[in-house]
Amino acid sequence: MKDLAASLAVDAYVPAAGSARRDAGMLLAITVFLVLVGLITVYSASSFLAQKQGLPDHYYLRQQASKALVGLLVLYVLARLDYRIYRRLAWPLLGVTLLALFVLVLPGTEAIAPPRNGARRWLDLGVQVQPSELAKLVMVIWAAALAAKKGERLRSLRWGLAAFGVIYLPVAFLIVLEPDLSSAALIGLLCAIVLFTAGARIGHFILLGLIALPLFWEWIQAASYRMARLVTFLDAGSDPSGVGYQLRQSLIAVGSGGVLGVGYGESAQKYFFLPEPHNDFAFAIIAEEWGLVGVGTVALSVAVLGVLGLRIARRAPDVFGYLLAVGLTALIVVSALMHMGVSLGLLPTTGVTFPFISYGGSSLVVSLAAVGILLNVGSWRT
Amino acid sequence: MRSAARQARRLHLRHHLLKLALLLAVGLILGRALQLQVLEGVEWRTRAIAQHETRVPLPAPRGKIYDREGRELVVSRTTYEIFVAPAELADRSAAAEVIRSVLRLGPETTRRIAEGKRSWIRLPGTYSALQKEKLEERIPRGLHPQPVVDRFYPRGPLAAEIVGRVDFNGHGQSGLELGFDSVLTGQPGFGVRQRDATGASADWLTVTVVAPSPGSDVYLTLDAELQALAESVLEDAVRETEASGGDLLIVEPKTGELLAAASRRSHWRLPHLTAATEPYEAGSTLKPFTVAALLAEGLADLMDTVNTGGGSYRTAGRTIRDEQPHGRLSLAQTLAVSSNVGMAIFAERLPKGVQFSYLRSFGFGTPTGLTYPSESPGLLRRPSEWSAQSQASLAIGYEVAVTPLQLVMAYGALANGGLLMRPLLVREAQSAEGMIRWRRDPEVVRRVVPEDVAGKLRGVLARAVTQGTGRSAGVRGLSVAGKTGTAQRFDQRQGYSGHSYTSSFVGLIPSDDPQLVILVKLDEPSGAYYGGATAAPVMRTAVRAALAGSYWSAPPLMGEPEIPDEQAGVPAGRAPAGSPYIFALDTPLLRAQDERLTSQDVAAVPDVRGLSLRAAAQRLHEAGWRVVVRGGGRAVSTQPAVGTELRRGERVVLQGGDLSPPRRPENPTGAG
Repeated sequence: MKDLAASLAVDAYVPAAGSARRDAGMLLAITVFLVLVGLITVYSASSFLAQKQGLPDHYYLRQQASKALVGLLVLYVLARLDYRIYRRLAWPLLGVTLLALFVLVLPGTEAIAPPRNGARRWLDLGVQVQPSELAKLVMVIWAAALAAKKGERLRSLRWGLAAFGVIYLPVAFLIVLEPDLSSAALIGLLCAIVLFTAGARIGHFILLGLIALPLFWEWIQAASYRMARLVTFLDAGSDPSGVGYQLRQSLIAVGSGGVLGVGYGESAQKYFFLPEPHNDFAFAIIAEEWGLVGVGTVALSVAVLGVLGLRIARRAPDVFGYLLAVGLTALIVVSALMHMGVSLGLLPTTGVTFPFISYGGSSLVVSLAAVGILLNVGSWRT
Repeated sequence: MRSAARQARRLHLRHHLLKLALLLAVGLILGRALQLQVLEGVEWRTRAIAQHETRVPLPAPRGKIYDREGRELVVSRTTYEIFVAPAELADRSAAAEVIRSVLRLGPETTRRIAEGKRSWIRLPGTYSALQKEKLEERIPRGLHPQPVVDRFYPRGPLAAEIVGRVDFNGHGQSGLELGFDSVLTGQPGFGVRQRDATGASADWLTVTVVAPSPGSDVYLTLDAELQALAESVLEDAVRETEASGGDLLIVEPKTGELLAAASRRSHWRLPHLTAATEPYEAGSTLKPFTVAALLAEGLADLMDTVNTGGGSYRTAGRTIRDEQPHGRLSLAQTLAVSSNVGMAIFAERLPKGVQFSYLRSFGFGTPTGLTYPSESPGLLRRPSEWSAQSQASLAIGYEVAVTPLQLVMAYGALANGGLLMRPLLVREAQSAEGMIRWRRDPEVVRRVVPEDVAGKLRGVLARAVTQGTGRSAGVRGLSVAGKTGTAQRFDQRQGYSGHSYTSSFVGLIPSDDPQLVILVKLDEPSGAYYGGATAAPVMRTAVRAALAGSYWSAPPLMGEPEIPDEQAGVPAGRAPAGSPYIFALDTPLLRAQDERLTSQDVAAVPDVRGLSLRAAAQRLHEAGWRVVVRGGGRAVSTQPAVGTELRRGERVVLQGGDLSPPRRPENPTGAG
């Protein structure tokens, strides 16, 4: 293990003294900034919706703000909690997650797992919890722990990817049953990134991809609306009113923002043109209201956050810390990139939350928790 | 160890690949945003506007139609169609109850609102702004009023055939509404209203982009009160004489302005002004024009006589008859007693072409050019198409079809000294900013006869009223010149029927300097069918009532026709007002035509104080005095004072309690 740490430190870049502290500070600052952007955006995007639902206009804002406070508390605690504990907690956490996901798909548990919009994604435990959000974090931890433990053996198909598949597939299956295809795919991607970082063979990924594609293909075809989404993504202009609707509305929101945006609170697309404007299309609202300036600010924040996360990872005292930091960074950055990609029509339209920004307590708390763990990883001196 | 070093290199590379992928992804996102927001920004913004904004038409109020005094005949008012979106209502059943009580709607509509099954309900009918506001006060959300501009007639159906109607879309359909549609129609504006994806729009987001510009107002030459009078007099006459219909026209001969124009048919409502659209054989009322031709051409003199014998005259295989034998008649007498035989004999002196050209010159057989959407030219055949009988027929008013309008304008030429005027129905159109958009000044079409010929004819026509066929048209205290006409009506099946007549009378008042020409025509009156027995009394009633009313202020009395100085395009003041007198006919009205009104006839001025000015004036006028009215409201004093012995024919000034200044200084050429 020393070899790995040493080889990483051999990098031409030698962090200056105190740079770790500065990186941590910046990471925290960007996190808080994005949370604030989120609160502002959620208010603008949801006030009309809230009123239409007969709620006070700041209803969603207050919900999000309280979750943000909880999340920051979690962040504070986890930043002080030795990250190495997760190596031991990986399996128990995975068990809890699997249990939660299982409850969602069980019949007869509607009391604590009520269906919403045709999907059962939430556990109602006094507070609404989205197990699939938790699963993202737990799977990253678990993947990092497993990869760190396996070391060189990761490069064998049997001991490497196959072992991961044994755990990933049931998790993904449960999540797909909710249904929440995009979360399952995202978790797969996050695990893949962790494994890739840990040195798994590229050939294995290609093989995995070839196996996964027909599976996904069949599954996508089974659900015709997903099919339509993909088709319209490939040819967005062909259908002006039907299934390309969300994509077109998102592009209209982004495009009409121009350079400077239409102004805060002035979004017209939030008036039900965009579905879930405070959640799945929060970035589109930002793009509309703040224009290219807003897009640039948010995208660059994500980029800086990613670079900081990778830098923290590289300074990690051990391989687990390294893989964990990369995974957590990916959890935040990949989600954000996917969310933005969907909004801009670069990816098929699917509901991915923007960490810190999109409305939703689970996503927010999990993202802040991830930052907390990252900060702890970064606080260790090599 | 080698493998460990390779692994370290590999991990190192992969770390950088991750970083590279991150930066590439962010770069891709920024590039895509640049493309969408900057390069294609305008295009997307256009699409956004297209779906966020709905163009809301802002209707322009249609111009008003005023009478010559600026009294409203037709106005536009904005009413509201109200749509309800039950889903937006806070409390559907409460809202339904409010709607029911405020708008007094039936249970069906309110039930539908309370049920809320339909997303969009239109309340039946239109509602006033007041009702709309009441409703909005109590139901803050869920109501969607849509303004509708419709026409309102403050004076009811007054002059309905003239002003016409608008169709469902507010476009002129008939009458002046049609003829002046482009002038009356405003330029609608539009606003932009934000809407949400459900199509619901928020009123507070409506922005006016182009303000509507209201249509221009049209000022008629009609006098609303005279028109009302004409209509009611005609109505009564048609009813009393059991006529199938009738027309009544009052024209100011010096300007050609129509002061009143009424047309009635007993059984149906007229779609247009038949006085301009339906020609008829006018009979004796056309005789003066043949006489005018004879006089103007010097082919006869009023003193020339012919022998009408026993009242029948055979010419060109046809026998022309008088009602009673008159023996030898002068031309003047021929006209005064309306002898057909005399006219036929005198007409032989006229070359056919001359007779034709005079009739044509008086305006028969050609449209008058009235600013009204439809008009008949009537029928006057060329001499080449005449039969041997035509000359005699034309002399007594047959074989020629004229509209009442043509006839009244031809008499106007006799009244004003020989000038055929173009009939005016519309004086001007003013935009809301006061710009003249359309204007027609009195227009002389042509001189028809020399002034002295017109004067001679007026004299004869005056005699026709005092001695001849038009006696019952005489109004005490007023000299009337005029001519009756009783024409057999031509029937498709029976030819000229012995039972069906058109009775008409055209009067010039006062006879020496006519200020008004009044035409009354009654179709198929039953009973005493002669013009003198039916149409003439109608005219007397009309004149009497007119003289007693305040509506007389409009026609300027003596002197030049009033034409304001303003030119088109220059902001104008109000339409020219009349003199301050109730009676513009403040000229010597009392002629010696009535022997009872001679100089020894003296009476005490009665106490008319407290009466309405109109009633007071009528009373004084009936007693034989000329009346000048000052002020308005009720009569408070007379000058000379009540009880003063005053010779009839003298002037009495009647002072009203309302001391508002006269609208115009006294006409210097007016009161004698």
